[in-house]
Amino acid sequence: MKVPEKVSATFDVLPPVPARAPAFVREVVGTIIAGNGDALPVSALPIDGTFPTATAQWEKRNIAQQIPVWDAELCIQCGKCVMVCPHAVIRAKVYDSLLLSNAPPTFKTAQPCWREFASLRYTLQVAPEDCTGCRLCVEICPAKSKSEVKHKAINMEMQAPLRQQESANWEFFLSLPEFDRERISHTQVKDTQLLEPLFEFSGACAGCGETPYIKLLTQLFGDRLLIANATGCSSIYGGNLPTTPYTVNREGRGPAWSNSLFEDNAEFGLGMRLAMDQQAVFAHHLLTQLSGPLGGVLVTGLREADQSKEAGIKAQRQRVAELKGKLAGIDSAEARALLAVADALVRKSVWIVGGDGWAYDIGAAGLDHVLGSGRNVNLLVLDTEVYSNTGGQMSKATPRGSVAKFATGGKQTAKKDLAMEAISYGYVYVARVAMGGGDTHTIKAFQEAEAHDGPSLIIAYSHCIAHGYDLGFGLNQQKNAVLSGYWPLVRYNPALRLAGKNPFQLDSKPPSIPLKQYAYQEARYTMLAQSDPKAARELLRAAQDDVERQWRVYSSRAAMPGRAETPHPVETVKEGGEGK
Amino acid sequence: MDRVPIILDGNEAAASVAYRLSEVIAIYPITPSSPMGEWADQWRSEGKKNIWGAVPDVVEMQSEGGAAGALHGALETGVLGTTFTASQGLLLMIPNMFKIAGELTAAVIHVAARTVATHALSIFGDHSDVMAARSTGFAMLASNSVQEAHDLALIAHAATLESRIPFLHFFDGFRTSHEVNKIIPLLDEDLRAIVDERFVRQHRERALSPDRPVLRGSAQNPDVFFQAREAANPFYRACPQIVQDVMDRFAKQTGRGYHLFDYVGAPDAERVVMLMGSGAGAAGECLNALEKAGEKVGLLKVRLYKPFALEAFFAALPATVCGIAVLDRTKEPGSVGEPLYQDIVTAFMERQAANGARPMPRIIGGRYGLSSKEFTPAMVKAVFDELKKPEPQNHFTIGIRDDVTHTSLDYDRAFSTEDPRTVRALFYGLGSDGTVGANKNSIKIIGKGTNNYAQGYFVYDSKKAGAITVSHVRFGPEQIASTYLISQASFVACHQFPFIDRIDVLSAAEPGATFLLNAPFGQEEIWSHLPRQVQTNHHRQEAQILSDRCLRRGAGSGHGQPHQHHHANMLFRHQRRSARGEAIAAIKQAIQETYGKRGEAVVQKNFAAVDQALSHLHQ
Repeated sequence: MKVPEKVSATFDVLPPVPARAPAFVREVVGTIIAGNGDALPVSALPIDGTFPTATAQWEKRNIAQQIPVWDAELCIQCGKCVMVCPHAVIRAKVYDSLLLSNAPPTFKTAQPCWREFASLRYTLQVAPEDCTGCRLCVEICPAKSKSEVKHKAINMEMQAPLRQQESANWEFFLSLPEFDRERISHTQVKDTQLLEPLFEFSGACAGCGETPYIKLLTQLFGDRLLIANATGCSSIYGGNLPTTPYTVNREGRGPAWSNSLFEDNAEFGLGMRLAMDQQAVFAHHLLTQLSGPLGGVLVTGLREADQSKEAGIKAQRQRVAELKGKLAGIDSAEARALLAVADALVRKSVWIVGGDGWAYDIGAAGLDHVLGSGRNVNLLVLDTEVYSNTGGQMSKATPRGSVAKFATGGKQTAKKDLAMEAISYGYVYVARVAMGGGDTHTIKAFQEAEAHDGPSLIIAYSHCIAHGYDLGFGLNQQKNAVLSGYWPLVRYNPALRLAGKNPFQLDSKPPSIPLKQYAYQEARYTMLAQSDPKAARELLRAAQDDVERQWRVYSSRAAMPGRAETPHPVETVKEGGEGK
Repeated sequence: MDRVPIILDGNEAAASVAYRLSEVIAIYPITPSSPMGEWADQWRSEGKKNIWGAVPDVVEMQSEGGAAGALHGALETGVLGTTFTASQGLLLMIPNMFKIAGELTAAVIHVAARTVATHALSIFGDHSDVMAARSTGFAMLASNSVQEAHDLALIAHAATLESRIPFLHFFDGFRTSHEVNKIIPLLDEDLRAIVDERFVRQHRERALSPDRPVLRGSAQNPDVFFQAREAANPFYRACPQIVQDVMDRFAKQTGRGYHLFDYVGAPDAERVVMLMGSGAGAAGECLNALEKAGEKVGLLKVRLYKPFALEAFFAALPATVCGIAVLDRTKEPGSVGEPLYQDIVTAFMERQAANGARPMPRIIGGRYGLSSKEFTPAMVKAVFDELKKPEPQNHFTIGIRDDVTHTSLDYDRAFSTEDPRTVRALFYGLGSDGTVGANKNSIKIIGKGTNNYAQGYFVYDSKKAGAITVSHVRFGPEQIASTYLISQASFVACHQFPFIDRIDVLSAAEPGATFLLNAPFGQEEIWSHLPRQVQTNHHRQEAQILSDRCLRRGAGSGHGQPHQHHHANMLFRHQRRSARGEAIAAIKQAIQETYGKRGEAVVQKNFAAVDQALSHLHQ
């Protein structure tokens, strides 16, 4: 081309972050985003590796060519697109129509499909600059146009022409208040997807199968969440500089996140729990000592608070705020000490998150020990069935017959049944979930795990680029995994055991499609069929047998009687003595 | 306040402070550090409180890697935490130690330093484990005795909170961890006086919390990792002075002064030996002897090994020094020299490069004491003597005979610094026959009940049952820092007659020693049952034989562990200050304390054994 002599552009390179971002984000994070991190001096960086959260929102990456566009007319407001979005770029809100007075002209809105919210408005909004264009939302959308083939309530359109308009809409959408958490169900997909996610715009792959689970976690419990994260994909999209997807709500609360190592994550998270519990014990001790100046009503309220529900937690937070106010006026060592640990009086949730490389292999002994500890921690295994972060090497979660690095001839042995290992303890809550095979089931498992006052383990089927297919169909494959019986949906709830029932619940139906119909959609299986058809046939046959065997074990376990339905031998005491 | 001395071993001494200054304690057993975790667990079960009035949580993990991980998680969440380990266990903690230090997290790991397995496993003591952890960023503080394991534990806990540098506090496995000695205890009020509450609060306020969330453990790229790593420098620079300030506060509170480098010896010393750990006890005794003989020698004890404080080091060392022997209790094959030696050489070379006017002293390095190899004043003397030579051997070994690469120095085995006023007793027994327990009780009785100092060290072989135990017990009017086995005993007791044929139990008896033999014969028959070598030694040392037939009588009284009474004998012969009646009462009280939890019947059997033994003692 012929280069004109004059510089004539009327626009310039965008600043890495907007001017309204916080100072640290502008000066440090922004410099790194701009690729100038090398120029940062020592003094610019935190002394101890501590970074602020809520920073991914400032990093507008604009990587999607196409973004989803909402058809408000067609939408049934089921919330599925919101739930499966790996990057939290589709969100739903219900709000007062009065708030629409300042809305941008193209801002879309609809009548809510909740009878009780009929007087309010509903909007499904996309963040155009944060979307990766993965299409999971479109594929999961159940609302199809009767007149126009392929047209759904969510459809992909070119991003560039929409960017400016939808960015303005997104900003406006964010300015709308969050809906009252106490007015909606926390177990239904539709309702939970009105809850604010505190995990957004991560650097995970487009269509990632892991991040929707983490996002759900933050929607449900984000403002009281401590996350111990094993090294792996989830620690990289979770905590790789320059930004982190973990964010805060309007009160400034949100997940506190840390990564220790690959091999120690369960123990690391247990340590968090030990600390929280110990601080609560200490705080209770100090409350007793200070009950005079603090007043019996407050102290009793704080000590005996029922925090099993969110309303109780909220009330306790108010008490703690009152407590802090009073403590500020007391000049004593005890008061100062209590001030430092007062937050421990509010219920906190520890979730220990990592992949199968951690849970099945390098951290297995620690995971097992933490499950055996009986402590109230929750472990979430994002099971991609390979070491995703290092490039797809075999783990003990890798299924028989699939090809992975280090298993180039196909994995010769069956996947380890981690759920059954954990179930053997009897007091561990265990669930196998697959969002694409049962989204309500997934939410139920998260809630039950959180409610269980003891260790919980959720093994979450996570589709992955390492599986070798278009991840836009990831949730479809999850569904196939469940239909084939390869991934039965299971919940083992010790609470049922205590209630005299069989704690083992098999929540999916018997296999209705052969394993091949699920597996052979994925290159990790089919590549073996091409390179070594005979081995592939034999491994597939054995893998089908694994599935059937597993189903027999699970279904018989689910059919077992509970404690209330079995006889209990009673010690017989003979008359006239206690025996020898 | 008057502090009543107590008798305990190094593990209990360290654990007692660590427990009272912790909220979460993650534990995992490994010899020789396990008793620290066991004490913590026991104290928790008894409801013993830390100095803030809460009972710490003590949690056993599935490995030391797990213990370190749990500790890391607990510390990040704002509690005060500690753990105890050694050897392979410390190696498993290293990955987390890097992170704990990198995040400037206050913590103390107490280590009963033990050999790392190489060509063989060894449960015994040396510094190969702690030296393997020296790049983690932990500060490293060395204790040389039971008292110091107690004192420096507190200094470590206080200094870590103030400096934000985590501390590895170590003392020698077995030689200190399992040595029983008389110490002045630190009371809760001492702990409160030394630990500054401001820094405790700051530690709590740095807690990870969803109420004010932050992110830790990020992954960083080449653009900023390096700069961020250098950002912690000011904390490492400030750390030594903080430690010294804490030591100074400690001295005011307790009267016991410590320094980053403690120098003892001639102010105009020409030759200096440097080391850390229990070897300082033996070296100190040697130093005293040489100084009395007019030699210009000194001993430099390294307490704060990391961060290495150059200025304090040079300030502690007399300017007159022209020869330094740096002793390392570890081996790093293939290196230029062992770690402490290399640090000292570097320190001098840096000073020389900056200020060439000063003459460099001659510096040699040597290895000693691997796997609890004996380290005696005689060996220290050989090292001082080596420094006198015009061409002293560098990279020497001391305490072994190396006839392959000829690294070893010769030493004079007859050189002894034993204090004649110190009673030195050896007891030969069988594991589980009560000898060791009874000796520990005797030490408690002597240490608590009199003004005497007392020390006990117990050597076991590795048989799971029927192990031979040799108890090395010293007591006397002066503080006992003899960190080596007794080779000149004034009292030898053999509790198992069958040993007579297998072990030369009088080989370590000094002339005129008393020999107490538990024999199944009458006194007229005994001599004919002693083997030739024992009879010869007996004649040479002019020992007196005391015998008794407690095995028979023990059986008669239904009591199979007849050893308390030997201690009564020993007490009467060697500690005449104590009236017989008082001693008996003290023994019985000790029996009550030791065996009380096993039931009254056991206590009464032991009482009976004491009474019977006294009435059947023959000379």
